[in-house]
Amino acid sequence: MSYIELRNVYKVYGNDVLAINNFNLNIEKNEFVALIGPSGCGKSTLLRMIAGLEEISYGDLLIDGKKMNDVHAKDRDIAMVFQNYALYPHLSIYDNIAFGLKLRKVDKKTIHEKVTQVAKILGLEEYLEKKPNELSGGQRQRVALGRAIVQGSNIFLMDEPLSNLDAKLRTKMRVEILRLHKQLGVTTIYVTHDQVEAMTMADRIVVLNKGVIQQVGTPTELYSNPANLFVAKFIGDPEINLINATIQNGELIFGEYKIPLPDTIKSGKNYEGKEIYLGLRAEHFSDDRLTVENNPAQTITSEIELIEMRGDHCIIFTNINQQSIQLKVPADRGYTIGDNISFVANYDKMFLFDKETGARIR
Amino acid sequence: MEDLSKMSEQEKIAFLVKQQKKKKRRPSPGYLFIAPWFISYFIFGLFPMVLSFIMSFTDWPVIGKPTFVGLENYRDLLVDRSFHNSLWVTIRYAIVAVPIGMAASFTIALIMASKTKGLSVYRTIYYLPAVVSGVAVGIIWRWILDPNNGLINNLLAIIGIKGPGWLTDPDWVLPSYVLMSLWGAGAGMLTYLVSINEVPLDLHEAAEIQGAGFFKRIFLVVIPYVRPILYYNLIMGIIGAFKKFNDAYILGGAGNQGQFIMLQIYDTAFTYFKMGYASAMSWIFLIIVLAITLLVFKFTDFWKYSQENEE
Repeated sequence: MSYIELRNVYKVYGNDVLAINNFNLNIEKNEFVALIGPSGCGKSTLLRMIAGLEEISYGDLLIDGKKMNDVHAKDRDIAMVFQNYALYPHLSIYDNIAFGLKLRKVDKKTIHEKVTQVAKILGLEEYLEKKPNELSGGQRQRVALGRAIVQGSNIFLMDEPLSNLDAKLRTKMRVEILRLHKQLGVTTIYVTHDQVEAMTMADRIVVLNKGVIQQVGTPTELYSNPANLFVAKFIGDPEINLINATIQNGELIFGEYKIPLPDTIKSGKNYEGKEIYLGLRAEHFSDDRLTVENNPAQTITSEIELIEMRGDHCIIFTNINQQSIQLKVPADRGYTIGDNISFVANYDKMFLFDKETGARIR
Repeated sequence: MEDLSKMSEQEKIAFLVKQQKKKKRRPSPGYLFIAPWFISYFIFGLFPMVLSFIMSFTDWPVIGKPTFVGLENYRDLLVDRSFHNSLWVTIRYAIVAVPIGMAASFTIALIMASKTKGLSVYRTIYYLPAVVSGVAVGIIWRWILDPNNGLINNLLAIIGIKGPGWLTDPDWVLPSYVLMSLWGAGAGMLTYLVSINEVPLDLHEAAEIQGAGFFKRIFLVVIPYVRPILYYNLIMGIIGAFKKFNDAYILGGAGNQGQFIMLQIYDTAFTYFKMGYASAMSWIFLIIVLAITLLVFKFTDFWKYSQENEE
């Protein structure tokens, strides 16, 4: 039995919007799970259903084996961190953190101990007397975290907690949240639309689209073994290159290039004569001189349209067979726009996708 | 062209500030557009105010010339029983009607802020009294409160209660006026409604998860959040109560219990033609309202809020 179980969960808004469609997930104790997907995919809805802010239309939510569908939000032993922090503007930081404890009629001495302790963990000691509007975004988010921690709940729900912060602070808070998670060991469900957050923080990631789970897996699994076209495109920066190709006589053909269909792709013959997508990530190309010289037959040469400098590497925009692709190459190559670039693709790493359904061809 | 690169930072700032001020010195044509308002304010607002201040030191029966009497008007007011009565009537009314009215407006706004069907219709209905002319309202209420054939007493008679003489019994005059003021609670409702709707949803939700039920959320989240509007309405309510005139002019009230201060001033000026005396009353009245408003400022953090809003 898992700590949190979602069984065949559905959510309908109004009479016509199916926000969550047959959601099944088991979350273990102390796990850090990220829900990720484009806006409107239902990830926040799901979080709110777990919190008890939103009714579950159908299906069951179990926490520690107990059905929670009809349990009020306040009785679910859950703490939530909101995107806009949701701090009470009229209360001091101390009172903001103490709010939930006061409502639960905890005695003053215990409240003081707990608030002080939490403030210490989060480095908020000197701000306790201040009002939220005197604090910076990062500090406010830390107060929101403090408010969640102080309740001593067993589950943290976080709804895009870092999306209002600037890039630098976001990286810092990411580390801080992770550190807290290690320290407190609280089961955490984290909603984000930022793949970097999900990849760097989560033990497991759930990719959602239009209310349907696309894939559940560790960050590595999602990146190196995407279940379908959606996941392949959603995870990874720059986005995966997709090249139109046709399967003919056991060969993959795209323009003037031909490569044998690997044996590992068993269902390839089902697509005989059909157009499919060949997916290759930007780093699965090599412009290394030795590699290129040793594989003259595999070498593709094309013109550089754009170069995006990223510090230690750069992204080269070019094309294969008039289809634009992006390559990741070391920054010191000294290319300029208009140059020709010769490169070899590492086809061992390629993914094939059904063009109509987006399903992975294995 | 000055060479900025040779200046120290302080000099640069001083130089740039000077430049900016030069640009600002040209008068904006915008002043032309707001001139009509200022002109009419000077003619119909400021000038009469100054004039009334001067008049308050004179005895002027409208016909004939005013004679300077010094502080006599003010001295007379100190012992004028009917002036004291009207002050007392007004203050009593303000003390009772303002809090009740605010509570009523706020409660209606809370209901209006919920997601009930047909809300826009209710909102309109509640707001309607605010757009009806005060005199018309007075005439309607005269019928409603009529002791013999009025709406309320007729309804009470149906369930076997003999209604009081609303405006004819001195003890019932104040409750009658409070009742009438409640009828207009919808006007205040609108400002509450806007501010209640401004309370971010996630504040409600955060409180809900932390264990606050509906009423706790109202008292711990909504009311603190809309506090600036509460203060605003408190001050405007007090000023409004002190300025009560229209319905009092139409309805009066037994035993001088409907003689609100504005009515007293009006009667003094335009019935008894004691302009100087009426002016002195107006200034006393202004000082009292000002003092109360300042007290409200002092005992609330209204000022802080309004400054925060400006930022």
